[in-house]
Amino acid sequence: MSRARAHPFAGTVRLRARELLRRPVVAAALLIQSAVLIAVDLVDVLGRGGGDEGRDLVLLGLRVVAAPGGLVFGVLAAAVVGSEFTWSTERALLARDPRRGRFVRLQLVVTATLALAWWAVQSLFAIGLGFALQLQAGPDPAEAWSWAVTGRALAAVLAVTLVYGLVGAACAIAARGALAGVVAVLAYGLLGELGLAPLWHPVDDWTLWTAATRLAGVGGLAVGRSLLVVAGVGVIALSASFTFYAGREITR
Amino acid sequence: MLRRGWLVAKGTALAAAVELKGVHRRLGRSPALDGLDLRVEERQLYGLIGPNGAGKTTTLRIALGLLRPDRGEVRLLGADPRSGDHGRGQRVGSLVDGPALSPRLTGREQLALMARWSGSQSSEVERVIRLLGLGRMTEQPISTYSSGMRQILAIAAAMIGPPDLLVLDEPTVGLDPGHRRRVDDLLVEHVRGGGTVVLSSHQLDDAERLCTRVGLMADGRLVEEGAPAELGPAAGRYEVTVDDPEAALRALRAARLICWHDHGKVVVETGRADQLDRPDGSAIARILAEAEIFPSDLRRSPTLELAYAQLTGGDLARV
Repeated sequence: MSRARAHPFAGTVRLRARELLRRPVVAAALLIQSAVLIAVDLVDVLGRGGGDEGRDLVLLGLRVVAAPGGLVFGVLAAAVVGSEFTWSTERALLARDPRRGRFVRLQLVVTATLALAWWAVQSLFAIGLGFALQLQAGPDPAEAWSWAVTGRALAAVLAVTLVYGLVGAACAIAARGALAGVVAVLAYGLLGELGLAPLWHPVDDWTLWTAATRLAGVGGLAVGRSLLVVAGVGVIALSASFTFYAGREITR
Repeated sequence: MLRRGWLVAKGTALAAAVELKGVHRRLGRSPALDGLDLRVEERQLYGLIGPNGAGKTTTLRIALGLLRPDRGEVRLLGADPRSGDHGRGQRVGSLVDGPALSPRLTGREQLALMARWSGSQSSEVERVIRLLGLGRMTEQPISTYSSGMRQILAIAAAMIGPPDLLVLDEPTVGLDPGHRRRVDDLLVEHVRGGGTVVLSSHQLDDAERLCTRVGLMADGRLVEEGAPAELGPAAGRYEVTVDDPEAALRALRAARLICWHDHGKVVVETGRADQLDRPDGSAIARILAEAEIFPSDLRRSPTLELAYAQLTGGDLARV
């Protein structure tokens, strides 16, 4: 009787994950995001006084992990997926198994796995740091802590991180390169969502950044619309990845 | 070892491993392939020879499904080359356009990645490491490898499966003589074991020695094809080294053979491949022995070099 074999992606993703741990770009992205988190929390703590009790630092940290953290992760995802093109490893994989859809699925699974790890590490760091600083600066963390609110924020951060990752992967797949993918996702995030969208209010309500901020507990956008935006951008990113890659020809 | 049961079941045993019919493909403005017809039977070691820009790599890319033809028909192991059916991942190993490796992985991890992606057993990693004698280098990150080490690792990755068909673009480029001989031997063993090899090469002597069939390409077409010994103007020629060339010429001419003296050697023309009763090397040796002439060397003339020179207008620098 033959032994049931694991899905080929299981081992492939494990090896990719091992490789990612050795890449400076991953460590750099983690450090940048952590530094932003520390800075935001410290600014809040140092700005307190005169009756201002400040905000819940745990929730504040999670909001930072959602946005700008999501965008930082999107850039990382573009760099990771784009390296398949830069190193031409795409060619070796497709020469073995030419199914373009399977290749895209692998990239998206790697991105989702990385998103999960990013979310876990960054959320844990945000909660730990917020809790520790709150112990020092008040208010009483036991009073401020709410499982329901924190749980919702954590779920929002996970969804936003995943969708920004999918956007990054889609940019790398469409642009077929790490650098081009990073530029594309930065153009989308910085220029599109933060630069141009605020100039026209109706559009500003439909950006991933605004939705991420709202879902993490800030701003006035309806939760339903925020969920719709996050889900919609995710579906568009997924569709774009498969569509752009379906006719891919390997010329180098 | 090889999984060709489904082919036999369909009654197409010994079908073409690679078949391209009337394939046209443009890259940019210029045609890379111009109505290419190519058929590689199973259990052949087929060499594609031609100058740079002849279309060899494009041919291999189209055969593997990396590129689509603009026109024409392509079959790989009897199936659409862009299909993943019939265990394609395991059945076709390849190295096209140089090694493509993840620099942060170790050699062993890279091989494991390919085994996983192709759906092969993890024991394949150890098998190919032993097969190519890679040893401890596989524990080092690929970023520390020399170009030759990358090449041999990429060949090892191509041999994971084990595949029925190996498609290799310049497989021995950058290899040291030891690894080059090892790869040559493995390719021959692969074909003896029932597999098929298609390779492109600029190593004319290797191609002549290894390949069972050779196709000469120029301008996106196959211009000549056949067994290496039967190609080009030197097909059927023998070179004889003797102390007294004039005596040898007299003896051979007396046996009604066309021969001449060239750079200290006697060259014997034995005729075209399809000519019946043409003398072979042992017949030439017998004729000379009857005249009490004993050659210090008697061998077939290298054919590919001359065929290639003819193809490129005598410009071997185009190789």
